[in-house]
Amino acid sequence: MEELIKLENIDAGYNGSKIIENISLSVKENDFLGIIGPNGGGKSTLIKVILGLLKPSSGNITVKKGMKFGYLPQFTSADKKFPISVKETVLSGLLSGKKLFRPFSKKDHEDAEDLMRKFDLDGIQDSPVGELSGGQMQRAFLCRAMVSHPDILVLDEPNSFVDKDFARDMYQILLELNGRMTILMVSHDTGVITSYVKNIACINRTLHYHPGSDITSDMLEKYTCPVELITHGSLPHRVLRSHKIGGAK
Amino acid sequence: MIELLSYQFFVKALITALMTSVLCGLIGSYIVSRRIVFIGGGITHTSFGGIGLGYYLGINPVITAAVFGILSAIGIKAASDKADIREDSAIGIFWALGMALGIIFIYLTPGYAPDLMTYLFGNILMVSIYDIWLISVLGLTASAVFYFLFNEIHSIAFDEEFAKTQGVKVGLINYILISIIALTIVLNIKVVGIILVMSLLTIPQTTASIITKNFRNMIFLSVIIAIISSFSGLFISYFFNIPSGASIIFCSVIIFLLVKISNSFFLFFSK
Repeated sequence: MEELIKLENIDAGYNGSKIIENISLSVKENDFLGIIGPNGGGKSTLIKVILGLLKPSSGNITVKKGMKFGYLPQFTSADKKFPISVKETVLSGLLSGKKLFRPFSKKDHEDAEDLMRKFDLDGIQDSPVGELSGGQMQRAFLCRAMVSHPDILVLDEPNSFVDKDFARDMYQILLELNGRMTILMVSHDTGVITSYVKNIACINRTLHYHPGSDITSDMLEKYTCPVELITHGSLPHRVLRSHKIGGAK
Repeated sequence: MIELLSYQFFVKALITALMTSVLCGLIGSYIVSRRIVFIGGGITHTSFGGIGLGYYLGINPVITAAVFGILSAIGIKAASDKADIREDSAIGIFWALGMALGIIFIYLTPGYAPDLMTYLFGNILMVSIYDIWLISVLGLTASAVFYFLFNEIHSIAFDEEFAKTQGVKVGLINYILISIIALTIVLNIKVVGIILVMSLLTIPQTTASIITKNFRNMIFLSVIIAIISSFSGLFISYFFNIPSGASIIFCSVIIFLLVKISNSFFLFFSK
């Protein structure tokens, strides 16, 4: 498997403070890597470093040449009044392949329209994005992230704003996409993540990589992963390996 | 009314109003959509320092104001991005510094500053051929930039981080746009004055955004509304003998109110 991204001893943060420390991570082709960790543990910071949005204060990052990123940002309050339609939003995911000074090509429009049809957005493609429901908006942003057929799809908390039905569909779509592209997903939802990802990394200032997708009690104890989410989780079909009673704090 | 067109100064004013409307309609749509109206206010008032410096050195105040305007735009961005100062605080500091410098320079300049009032309140009837050329060249440049980079600009304005991940030259395009904004403001100071220049960049755009939620249409509508405001303001200022800058802004507010009220009626009855 070819290595797409390699991080070596990365320190990064904002305004001189370190949020993440000494991170080394390698993301290989066709991986489906889940990154979990507590709030404020540095999940989004790590993603920003990987995407090149935040310069690390020390360490090395190597990204395969010419790699295309698809990015689904954390669902914050997108500017509800900004004049941009659903279709324009999806099309903006094709800017990396568009020639400068030229409009989007006919194929770009067709690709965007096909994807919107698949995600049930074709009826509202001219609506302003700010007027959509949370679930519709998330679908529009997911379309924007994947319309360019990126080499790697980076998702920051993709399940935070979708309804339960669409959440299941979305994970099915991601599994399907994983045949063609690498996926890197940040989530606080440890229950769901284990049933879809191939590998897990746990980040709480420092990072620990766990090949395989089981969450072990070892991970919970040593690396202070969000235990409460696991003990209180109501999602079925979760297997915790070597889970001792009273073992997890 | 026809005989008005035989006066050269009035024809010049009409051409200026037209070019200003195109420029402000376009740039203002970007400013309003991106919610950087306050940055525009900061640039406007900082450039007053440049006007003062121009008087003091005895050179065209428009040139020094342009330098101050662009430097303040870059300074505000750098202060908030790199020096960890909150953006609104940085704007407030530049705003005050520019006004203070302007007052100091004008005080130090011997004699009375004759057309200082022109810069504070503007006078579209006093613009020179040179000013018209500058506004026209800037209007054409801005139109070309928006025409050829429309999708990039639209995407950056909506979600800068996402645009960066797609390899869009966000930094470069931001600097080009902020320079165009600074120059637009400075060149329009002569037309409507420091005190009113921001309204030309916000009122027609806000009116347009009541009618359309499409960025392209918003730009076209803003330009048209700006043209109607400035032409009607110009005629009113002539017939009632009141300052042109104030009457142009007054007309744009009246149009805003008319559109807002009729839109509310429309929504009420279409329910």
